[in-house]
Amino acid sequence: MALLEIQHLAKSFDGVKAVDHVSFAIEPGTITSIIGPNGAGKTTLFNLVAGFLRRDAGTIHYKGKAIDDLSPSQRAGLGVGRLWQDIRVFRNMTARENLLVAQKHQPGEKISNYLLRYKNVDKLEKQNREAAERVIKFIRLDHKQNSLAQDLSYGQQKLLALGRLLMNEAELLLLDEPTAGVNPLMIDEILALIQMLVKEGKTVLMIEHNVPKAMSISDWVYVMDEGRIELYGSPAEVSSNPLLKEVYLGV
Amino acid sequence: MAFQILLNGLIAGLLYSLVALGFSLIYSGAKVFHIAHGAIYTAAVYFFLAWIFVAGPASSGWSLFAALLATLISVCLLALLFEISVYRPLSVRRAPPLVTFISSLGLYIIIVNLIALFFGNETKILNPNIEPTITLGEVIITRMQIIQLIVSSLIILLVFFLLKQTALGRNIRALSDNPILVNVLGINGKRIRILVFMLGSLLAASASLLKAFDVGVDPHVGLSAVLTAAVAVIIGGANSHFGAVLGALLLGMTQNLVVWFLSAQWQDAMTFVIFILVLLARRDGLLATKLRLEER
Amino acid sequence: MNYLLHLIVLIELYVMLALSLNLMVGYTGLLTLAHAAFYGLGAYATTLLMVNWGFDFLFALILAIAGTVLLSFLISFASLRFRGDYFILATLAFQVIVFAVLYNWVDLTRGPYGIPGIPKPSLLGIKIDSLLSFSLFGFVVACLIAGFLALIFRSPFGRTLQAIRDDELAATALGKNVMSFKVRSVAIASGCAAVAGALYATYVTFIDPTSFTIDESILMLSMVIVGGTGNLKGPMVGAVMLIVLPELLRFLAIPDAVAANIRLIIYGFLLIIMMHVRPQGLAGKYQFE
Repeated sequence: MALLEIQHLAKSFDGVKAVDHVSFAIEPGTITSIIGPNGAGKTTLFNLVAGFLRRDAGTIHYKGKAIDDLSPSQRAGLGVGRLWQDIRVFRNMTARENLLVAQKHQPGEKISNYLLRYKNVDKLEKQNREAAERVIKFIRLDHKQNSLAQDLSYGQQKLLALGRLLMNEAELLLLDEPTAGVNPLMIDEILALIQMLVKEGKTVLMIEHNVPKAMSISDWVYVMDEGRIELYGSPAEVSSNPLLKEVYLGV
Repeated sequence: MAFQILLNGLIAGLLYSLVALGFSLIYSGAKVFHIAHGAIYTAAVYFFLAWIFVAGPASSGWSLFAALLATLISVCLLALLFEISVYRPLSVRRAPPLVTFISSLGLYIIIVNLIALFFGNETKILNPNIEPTITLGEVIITRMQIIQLIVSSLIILLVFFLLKQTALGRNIRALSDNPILVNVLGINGKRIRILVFMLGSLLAASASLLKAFDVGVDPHVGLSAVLTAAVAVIIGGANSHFGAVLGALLLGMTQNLVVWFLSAQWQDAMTFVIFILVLLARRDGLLATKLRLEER
Repeated sequence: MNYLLHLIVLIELYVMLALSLNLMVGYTGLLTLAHAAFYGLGAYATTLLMVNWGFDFLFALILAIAGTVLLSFLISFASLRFRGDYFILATLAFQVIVFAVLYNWVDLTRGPYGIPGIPKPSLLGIKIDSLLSFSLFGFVVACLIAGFLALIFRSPFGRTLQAIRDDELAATALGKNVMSFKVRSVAIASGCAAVAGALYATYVTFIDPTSFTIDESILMLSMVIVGGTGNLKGPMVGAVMLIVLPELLRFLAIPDAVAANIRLIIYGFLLIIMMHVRPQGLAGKYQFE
C-alpha cells in the first residue's frame, strides 16, 4: 500500500493555479525528489500535504486514510514530518532541548500528570533523554548539544531539524531543499543522513534544486512546473529526457 | 434625534479618521506600531497652549495663527526626535517588532508624564466661550462642529490627493510596499520615513487641536485616541488607508450611539468589543488583502 | 521598620505578578497588557466574596482563582487566534474593558468609591492582622507561587511553551496543539495574578479601580522586561528593582503628586534603554524575537 497518495490535488491563489490537479503515490521506504523551476508550486504542495493549507480540490490519503480534514498537528501525530527551507529550529533553546521537546510521547506536557503522576513522567523523561543522546550522536552534533540552536551553523541547524524529525517518530519526511545553502561537504553529510534514515524505515519526499545530487540518491523523480507534473520516472529516465531542459529553461 | 446622533457620529468619526490615517501611514510606511502616536496627539495641544502663552492672549488673530504654526512645527520636530533617537536605530538593527513596540510604549509614557508634570492632570479648556449654534430642523450644530467637519474633510481629501497624485505620495506608497527596493531605485528612504512620521503626526495634531477647541484636553486623551485609531486601522484592513478612514467612521458612529444609550464611560470598552467582533468575523479586517501563509 | 515590612509585602506581591507574567511573556512569547486586569479581578472577587457574602479568606481565595481562570478562557478564546500586534491590542482591549466594568458597574463594585472594610485574612482560626504576620504570610504565599511556577518552567509543559514561543509553526509540525498550550499558559498566569490580588485586597483593606489600570500593567511588564525574561531570577530582580527604585525617590523629598509622574517617566526610559541595550533584561535568558 502506498504511504502517501495524492489525487487531483488543486490549490489556487487569487486565480493563479499554484497546484493544478496533481496526482501521485509514494511507496514506503523510498526517496522521491520533486524538482522544477521556482514558483512551480512545490512548496505549496508540501503545505497542502502537511496541512498548513486547505485544498481547493482533490484528496490526500496517508496510510490508506483520508487526512484532508486533519490539522497540521494531527497529521504530525500520524507521522508526517516537515523540514522547512528556512529550517525553523527553536533558536533560543539548546540543540539538546530542541531534540527533547520534539519527543513524541510526553505525558509531562499535561500539567496534572506532571504534578500528580511525577514518577511516571520522570521515567519517560529519562527515556527521552536517552533517546536524545542517541539521536545527537547519530546526527554528529554531540559536541554542540548545549549550544543554543541559533549559534549553530546553517548546516548544523539542518542536521538538528532532521534529528527533531527522528525524535518525533516521523515516518513520511517532507524535506524542503535539504541541501540548499550549505557547503559541499555538508551536502554529502546530509544526503548520507537521509539515506540512513530511509534504511531505518523512513520515507522521504524532497524538494531539491540541486538536481544531480537529488538524482543521485532518489528512487523516483517528479518534475513540476506551473503547478503540474510535467515529467516523472526514475532518475535515469528523467535526466535523459529532453523535456527536462525545456521545463527548466522555459524554452 | 437619530439625525443628531448621526451628525455627532460623523464628526467624531472624521476626527478619528485623521488620527487613524496618520497611524496607518506610519504603520505601513515605517512598519512601526506607533503607540507613541497618542503622545504626539496629546503633545500637540499642549504645545499650542505653551505657544499661545508666549505669543500673547489668544484674542488677536495673528497670535492665534502664529501659535498654530509654531505648534505644527514643534509637532514635526517631536516626530523627528522619535524617529532619529528611537525608531531608526532599531530599524537599522532589524529589531523585532515587539522590541519596537515596547520602545514606543516607553516614549508614550515619558511624553505623557512630562506633560502631566509641567501642566498638571486637570482638563484644560481652550475656548471658554459658549459656541454659537445653528439649528437645522431637529439637529443642532455648533460653530466649532462645522469647523471640525469642514477642516477634517478637507485634510482627508488633501492627504488622499497627495498619496495618489504627487511624487511624494508615490514614494510613500513605494516605501510601504518595498522598503528595500526604494533605496535601490534612488529614492532617499530615510528622508521619506521622516516625512511619513511628520505627515502622520501632523494629522494627529490636527485632530487633537480640532477636538481640544471643542472639549478641552488632559494628558491622558492620547491613549484612547491612538487605540481607537489602531482599532480603526486594523478593522479596516491593515494595508488600506481608505479602510482606516472607513473603520474610524464606523467607530465614531458606534461610540456616539453608546454615549446616547449607555454613558460616555463605556466608549472605549465598546470600541474594543467591536474590535474583537470584527476580527472574529473576518480575521484580516474588512478590506484587507490576504497575506501569504508565511507572512502571518 | 514598618516601612521596611511594607516594602517587603510589596515585593512579595510583585514577585508573584512578575513571575506569572513571565510565564506568558518570557516562556510563551505572549506580550500582554492585561495582567493588571487579572490582578484586579482576583482582588475584587475576593473582596466581594468576603465583604458582601461573608466568606472566609481561604474559600474566597479559591473561588476568586477559579473565577479569574474561567474569565481567562474568555480572553483566550477572543484573542489567541491573532498574531503579534493584534494580540497585544486585544489584551489592551481586555484591560480597558475590565477597568470600565469595575469603574462603571457601581451597583456591584461601588465604582470609583471603592470597597472599604476588607477583613484581614484568617487561617485556621489565626487572624493575620499585624504587619509582621502579614509579611510572613505573604512570604509563604509568594514562595508557594514562585515554587509552583518554577516547577512549571522546568516541566515538559514549560519546555514546549518555549518551543511555541520560538517557532509556532515548527511546534505545530511536531504535533503540538499550540492553542491548548497557550490557553493553559494564560490560565495559570491569571490564576497566580488572582492570588496576588487577593493578598493585596486583604493587605490594604480598601480597593478601588484605580489600582488596576493600564499603568499597573505597564509596571508589571517593565519589571519583566527590565529584570529579564525567560527564567526564574529575571522577573524577581525586576520586581525588587522597580519597587525599591521609586522608594529611593522619596529620600529626595519629591512631593507625592509629582512622584507618580517621575516614577512613570523613569519606567519609560528604562523600557527604551533596555530595548536598545539589553533586550533580554538585566538577568534574563530570552531575547524577544
